[in-house]
Amino acid sequence: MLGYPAEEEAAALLIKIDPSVITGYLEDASGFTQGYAERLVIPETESEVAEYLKQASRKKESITIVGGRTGVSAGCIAQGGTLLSMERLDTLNKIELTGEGGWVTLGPAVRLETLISAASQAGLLYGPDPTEKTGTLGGNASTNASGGRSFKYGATREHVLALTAVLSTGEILRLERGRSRTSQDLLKFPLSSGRTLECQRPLLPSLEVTKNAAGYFSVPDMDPIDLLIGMDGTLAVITSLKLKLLRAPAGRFTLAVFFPDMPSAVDCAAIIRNQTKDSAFQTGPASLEFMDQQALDLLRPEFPNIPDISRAVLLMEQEYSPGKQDEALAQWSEFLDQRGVSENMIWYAETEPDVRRLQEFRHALPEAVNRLVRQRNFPKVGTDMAVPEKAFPEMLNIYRRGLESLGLQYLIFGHIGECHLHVNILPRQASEFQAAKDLYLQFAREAVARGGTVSAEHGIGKIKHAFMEIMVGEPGLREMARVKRIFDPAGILNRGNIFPEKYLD
Amino acid sequence: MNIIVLIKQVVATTNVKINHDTGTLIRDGVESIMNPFDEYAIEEGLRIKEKLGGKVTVITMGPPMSKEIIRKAIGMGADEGYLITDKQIAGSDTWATAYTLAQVLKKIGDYQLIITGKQAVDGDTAQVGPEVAACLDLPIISWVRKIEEISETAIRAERLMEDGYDVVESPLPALISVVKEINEPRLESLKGKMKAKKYEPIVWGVGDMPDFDTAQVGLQGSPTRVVKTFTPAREYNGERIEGNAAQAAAVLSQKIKALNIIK
Repeated sequence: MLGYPAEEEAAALLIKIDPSVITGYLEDASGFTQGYAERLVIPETESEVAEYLKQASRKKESITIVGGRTGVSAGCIAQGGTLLSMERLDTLNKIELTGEGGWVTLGPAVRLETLISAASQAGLLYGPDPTEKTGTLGGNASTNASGGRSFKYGATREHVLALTAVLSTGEILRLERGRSRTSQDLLKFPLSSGRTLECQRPLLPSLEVTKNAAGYFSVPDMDPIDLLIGMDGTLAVITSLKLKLLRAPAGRFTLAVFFPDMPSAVDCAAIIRNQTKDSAFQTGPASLEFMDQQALDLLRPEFPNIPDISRAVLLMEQEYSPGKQDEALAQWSEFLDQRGVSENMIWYAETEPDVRRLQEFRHALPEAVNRLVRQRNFPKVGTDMAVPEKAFPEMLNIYRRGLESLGLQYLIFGHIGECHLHVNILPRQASEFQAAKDLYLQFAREAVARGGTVSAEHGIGKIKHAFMEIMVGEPGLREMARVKRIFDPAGILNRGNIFPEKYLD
Repeated sequence: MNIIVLIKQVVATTNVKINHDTGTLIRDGVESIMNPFDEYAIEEGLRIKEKLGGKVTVITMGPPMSKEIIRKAIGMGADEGYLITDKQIAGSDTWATAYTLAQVLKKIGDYQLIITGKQAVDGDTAQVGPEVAACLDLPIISWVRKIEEISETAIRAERLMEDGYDVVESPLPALISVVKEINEPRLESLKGKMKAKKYEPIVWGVGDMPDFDTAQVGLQGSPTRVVKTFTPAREYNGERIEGNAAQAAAVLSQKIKALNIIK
């Protein structure tokens, strides 16, 4: 018999055991269908979270944290035990203004769309722009979510100024960026109990990519707060966040630039990437995205104006400060002239209906892919690797050679600004599905061999352990389990996320 | 070929709010855009120009802020734009608007084809295009879904009908109104946008047209009288059919049969 809390406490925590209610919490965007849980707990306050976790630790009750359930890696799907839904911790406090922008504190259940609209009303901008706007900020921080504008603003990590999290011991951890520095890689975490938790920085292969969602964050002289961002709920439960807000640009426009062949698009993207690093070039885009010929061909029926001769496209969003629009337009025009891009290969969008049309153009691709997949009845195989810039052209060749030698149908698209392209393989039969999965593993090994990551944005969750192992090896998995045990000695939080449960026992 | 496209600025929302005291649209805080059907008209004009050469001129009648949609047309590739604005024509109904535009077209004179969108999404009357043709005594092909052939002197076009389409031939000059099936409007180009930002439209008032009869325009000159405007209450008469998909489909097909829609 499980020891439930007293009745009034149970009411406050909203404990539910009705299977029909629980089932609704066992689905995210991963398509992973094997979730189950014994109960659902919906706490209202940080102290309720702490109290519940303390008891759960004692009983070794497995806890799976539930946010907006928009993830694609089954990170929030329970495999037994208790679902801890953060939905009632949804307070969005008043936005505070500073010289350069502002900041806001909020509960983990506040949805991205709510923050974006509040920031916009205050003339501010929340930099990261994850595509799924109904996702929660707690989920975003826990997974270090990134999005289209991560080219300019990075992922969620650098926008988290402070956070509060509850350990499975019930102790509360408050971290502020820049407050404590590590010495000799020993990370120190002061806890509400007065105890200081000490943890050697995880020893993991170092990465050279600008974007990573696989495994714990670890760099020399890191800020301890960064270990908690991207931990996929395995170390603690985030109960509050302080996020940085930036001054909103005066305006922005989007360009779609079509190219007659893939190499000229890839070259152009490389030049834009380098110029963006160069401060003399004022107008670095906020996002820099790519689609290949196969992607364009899939979109042509819906978008007949795609120039006939185009074989690749770059999509860029350019923000500008007050009075600087003309300058931004002139700079882009001159730059594209120099690249020999003719006028009829450029689409410009600035008004709301036009920007929406270009957004539809971008979002129509996954929809077109899904339509095709449904017709064929074989799942697509979609990759998520990013590699260092110097390895990018070679990696692209590896993709194309591998795909074409097997005669697979595929398309390549994504965040070329961060050297992070998704390969989508569309199998037509069972043997192709198997070949595609094998090829994915092979691509992952090639990416890792070049200092890349196996997952730049989708995360590992419960469905990509094999890829995590390719990236950090068995020792790396054990190393992450060591860190997890320091934070979560009972081993109850988000078991099975990032690495298999066997490393915890 | 000289092509004229008549365009209009409208509010960028389908949920238009009305001030019940004055019976006019509440425009505060609502973004204005080019009437979406006009983009198809401009696109078709540009395609004809790309084929036959010539010039695309846009004309809009409205307040000074309507310059924005002229600039948008320039960004798409139009060559020239006229803004017809004057206190004396404010409040004109479709007939008074058509009269005014006809006077403008008479003064411009040299054109072979006039294109309009099938209607504006604010008033939804679809009257101004045909009325302009009537004022100028020009042939009109409305609801054009495809231009099959066009030369400097004649046009053959498909006119969309409820039960199919008519093929209509006409000498030029003529006026056509287009439906959205005709093409996919282009976005502005980067160079077009830069040109458009600097572009100053030609602005005419009623004094710029010879023999303009101001008694025929404005609120007073318009034959239409707006007696009352109101937002109709929305009625929700939906019926929910319970059961699984097969059961629900069976019930639904029975109901449709009972209505004699299918047999």
